[in-house]
Amino acid sequence: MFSKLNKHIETIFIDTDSTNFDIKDKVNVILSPSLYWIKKISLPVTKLKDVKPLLPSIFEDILPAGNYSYSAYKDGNEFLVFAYEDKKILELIKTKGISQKQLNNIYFAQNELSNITKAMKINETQSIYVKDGIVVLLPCCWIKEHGYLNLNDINLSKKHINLKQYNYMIDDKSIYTILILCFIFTIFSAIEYGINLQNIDNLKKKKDEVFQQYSLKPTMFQNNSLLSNYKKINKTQTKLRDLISTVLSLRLPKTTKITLIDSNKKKLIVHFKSVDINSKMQIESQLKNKNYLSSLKKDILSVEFKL
Amino acid sequence: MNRINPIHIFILIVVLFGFFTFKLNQTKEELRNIKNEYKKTLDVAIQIDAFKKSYKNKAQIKKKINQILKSRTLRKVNIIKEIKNSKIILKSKEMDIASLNYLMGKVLNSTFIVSKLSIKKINNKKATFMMEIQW
Repeated sequence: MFSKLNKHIETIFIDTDSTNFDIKDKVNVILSPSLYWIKKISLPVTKLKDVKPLLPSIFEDILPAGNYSYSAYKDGNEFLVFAYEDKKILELIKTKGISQKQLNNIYFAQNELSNITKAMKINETQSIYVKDGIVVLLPCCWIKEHGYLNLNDINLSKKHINLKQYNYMIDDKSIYTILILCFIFTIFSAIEYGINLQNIDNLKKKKDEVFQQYSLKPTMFQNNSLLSNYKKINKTQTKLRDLISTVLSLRLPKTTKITLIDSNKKKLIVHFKSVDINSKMQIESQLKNKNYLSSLKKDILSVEFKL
Repeated sequence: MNRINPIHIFILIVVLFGFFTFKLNQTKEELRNIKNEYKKTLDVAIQIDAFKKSYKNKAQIKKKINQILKSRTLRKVNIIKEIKNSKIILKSKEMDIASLNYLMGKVLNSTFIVSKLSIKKINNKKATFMMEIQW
């Protein structure tokens, strides 16, 4: 762990004209002034958090079309404000042979190199120079340099930035809003899920209680079968009563009498005595809606109803 | 740049949200099914219980039959009562029509299972009677 803390991380300067790097360890990256837009401004606010919402409008008129991120730092009574394109910088870093996993921290040259007093060579073709407090990049032949700037001797500040790979697709605020909503919905779903499991358990217990309370058979198949049997009995008994009531309330010819009422579980037989064709028709006309079989033998009419 | 990318957290939470939504829907479906099952079980239980109380209550059936037979109209009528394991048989070789009407009215208006019934006319005033009541 300590060896990891003590490990020195190399610092590199990246510009569009930089040569490719052959580094496998982690690196700190100082961004060339050509990779960001900078303004030094005075604002009628004192707090940095009050400046941040104003940043897009500060650069509004000068920036070409693109998806920009913004940073601001206090510099005395003024503010240093930056605009940069995350995607373009990340792509450039990648083309220079540095993978995203290798990136430790990323800094603006303005924050790290503003203390140099003379023009210094930064690579074979370019120099760094501070003019009016702003770090500028110049071709090396424009000014007299005083040797190479050793980046690894610089004490890097804490003013590093985080490049966002997808900020051109969706802004942070939207991501966090959606994230929070999803999180809230997830929590609610999890709570409802727990409540549902509890309810399922309770209903299972209540169902078992019903089985005990009503002394039901062990399976619902048996119970349904039992109920179906009872319904069948009920239907037969209701029909028997209905048929007996119908038979006893028939308007019979004066001479015709009922001599037999006989029933078992399947049928009801009724015999009428002293019946001729006319009285048979008269009786049968009153039994129109009932399902029956009839036969007339001598003067006895036998009517059979199915139960 | 070792920071966790918000997109990764976003994806993780969306996956978690998807997982819980899926599990929630599963439990909702299960809950709906078990609710229906419970309602159905309770409904079947209540119906079976009602039928049992009406048709299968041996003591109640015996008590009611005895009450009917002890009524003023039937007290003096010669009705033989045979009690078997799962049924009562009522028989009379000669029963007057008024008593028969009374008995039939009482029996048929009660919730007995009349498994057999036989009424044969002897003459205009008398008939033979047999009834089997099950439980």
